[in-house]
Amino acid sequence: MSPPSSPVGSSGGGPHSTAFDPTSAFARSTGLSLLVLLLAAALARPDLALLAVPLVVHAAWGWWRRPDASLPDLTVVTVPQRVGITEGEVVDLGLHVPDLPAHHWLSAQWTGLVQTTWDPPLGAVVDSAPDGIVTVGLEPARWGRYETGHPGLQVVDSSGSWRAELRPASSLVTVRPLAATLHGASGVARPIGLTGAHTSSVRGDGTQLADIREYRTGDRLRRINWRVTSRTQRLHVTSTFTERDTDVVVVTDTLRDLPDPHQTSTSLDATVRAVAAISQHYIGFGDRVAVHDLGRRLGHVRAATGPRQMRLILEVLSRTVRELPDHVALRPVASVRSGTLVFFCSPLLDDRIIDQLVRLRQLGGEVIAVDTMPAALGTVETLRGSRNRAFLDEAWVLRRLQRDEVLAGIERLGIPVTAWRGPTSLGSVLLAMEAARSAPRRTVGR
Amino acid sequence: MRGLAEWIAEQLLRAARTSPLQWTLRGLVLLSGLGVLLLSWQWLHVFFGPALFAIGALVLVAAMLFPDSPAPAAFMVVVVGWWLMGGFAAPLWQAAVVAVVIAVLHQAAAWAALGPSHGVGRRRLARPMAQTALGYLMAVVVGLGLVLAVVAVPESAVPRGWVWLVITVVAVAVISSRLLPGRRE
Repeated sequence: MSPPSSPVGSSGGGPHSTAFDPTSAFARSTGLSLLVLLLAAALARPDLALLAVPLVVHAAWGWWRRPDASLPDLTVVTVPQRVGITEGEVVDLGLHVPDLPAHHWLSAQWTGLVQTTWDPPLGAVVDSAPDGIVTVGLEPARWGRYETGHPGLQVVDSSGSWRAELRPASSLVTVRPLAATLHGASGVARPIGLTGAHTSSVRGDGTQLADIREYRTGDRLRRINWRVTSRTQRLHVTSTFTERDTDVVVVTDTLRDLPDPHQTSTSLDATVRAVAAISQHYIGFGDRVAVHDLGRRLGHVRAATGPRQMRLILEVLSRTVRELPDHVALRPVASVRSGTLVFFCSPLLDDRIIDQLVRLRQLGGEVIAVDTMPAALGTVETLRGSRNRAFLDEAWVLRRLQRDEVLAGIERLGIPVTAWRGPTSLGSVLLAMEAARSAPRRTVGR
Repeated sequence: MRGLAEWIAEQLLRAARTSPLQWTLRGLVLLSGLGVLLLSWQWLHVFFGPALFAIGALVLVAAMLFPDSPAPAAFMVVVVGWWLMGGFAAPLWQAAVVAVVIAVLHQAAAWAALGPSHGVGRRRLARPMAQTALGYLMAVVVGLGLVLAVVAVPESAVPRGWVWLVITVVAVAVISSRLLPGRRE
């Protein structure tokens, strides 16, 4: 919770002119006390006068507490107005009324938001707010941007006689996807950079032992292996593999957002999580990572490395537009350098997307297809208990069977396909790719 | 019929979402209202007693469900009407007891109306709320004592009618407001 002295944003539009209105309780006590007292006086009935006492006391109390010139105009500050958090974190949203008079309480109600959890559960709270701040906790369930809307806020008199409504500003909560740590090797077979962490197949200056061979003209003297030389009585040198970085391009297919049958996540969720994890993995190696979206839901991120690049990618991912219609125009990848490691995150349903995948391979990329289709979508299990009379579930089962054929074809071309199921998804594929560094490569499309 | 079912379903949903603070306040409304009805039933013997009890109970349920509506006022009108018809012979202490219970109902309904039924009260609200309630009840008791004291004064000392009524009301208002917290100067 930010301190009240440094509010991030204000209600906007300057101070509010505070208009207190009498409550139904004040109207009740005033009206009924007059009526009952009149009856008591007219009929000379002290018992009725006694019944009127609680109402008279409350009416007098409310009358003494009526808003007047001594009450300052109240302003309300939403704290914070913009905030960025990581998935799984809770943010405290506060409404601060700096000049809240004594003996006044705050009653706040945040508007309903889908895919969020409030603390308290429905985002409504009544608080004495001695510091003028009333807070609730918000935990978004997924990455993305959440606009809270204008919360309702009432300043209420502790006697229950007067209340004023204020209009606080909305809060914008940006939730960055949680970048899971990938398990497994780098999977880089042919690093194409100059210096880095991946062992290349080229011999030169490095630390990874390649061979011990006889000295040739041009070898560096510090490379002489004196132990072998003394044993064989001929000059021998230690040769090593060079270590280089590489280019990584994460290509995403967001042309469609396919929900799983339980409506818990979508293919876009899997794509965003895969991009976050892959980016973090390779930026950790010091590689240059770029993100290219074939659809229009994600922004494009140029190749770069370092923590700033990671923050940039997470920021772009958190701004992903879910509400875009499916099947918008495709933005193909212009070109990739030969040897670029390409992660192709897609549900692999569209022919145009499959063409792009094969094209990237033909351009010389080391392509890995990451299948982001929801695991439960189109499986036979979904047919059990299905009451969909449009036969949608059956249609998806057929579509998945068709897709399986396509995936088999992709794998025959030498492109590994792995389903995204969390941080361990790519482990075996990356390990196999690294192991196959020295294996002969198959040329595609010739 | 469908509208009624929807209304009942909505009320059940609201009840399920009602916060502990609102359960407490609305429970106080219900209990104090029932107390008023039972005391009136016990002490006042009116021909329309059963009908007044039934009407009062219905209005009381409405007051509990909708404290920000005219229902609490309607309930008090029923009670006052009951006492108007049958309270002329009752001892004044009985009316004083009913007045204290009405005070509880009135203040509980006033606070229940300040927030939505699912509005959770923070723990730090309990202390000022308890202090305010205590102050209000004390003021009511003092006010009742004043009225009883004035009634006890012989007619020869203080003239009856409008004069003593005005004096009593002013005295109750001034003295009780001094006892209550947060008076604006």
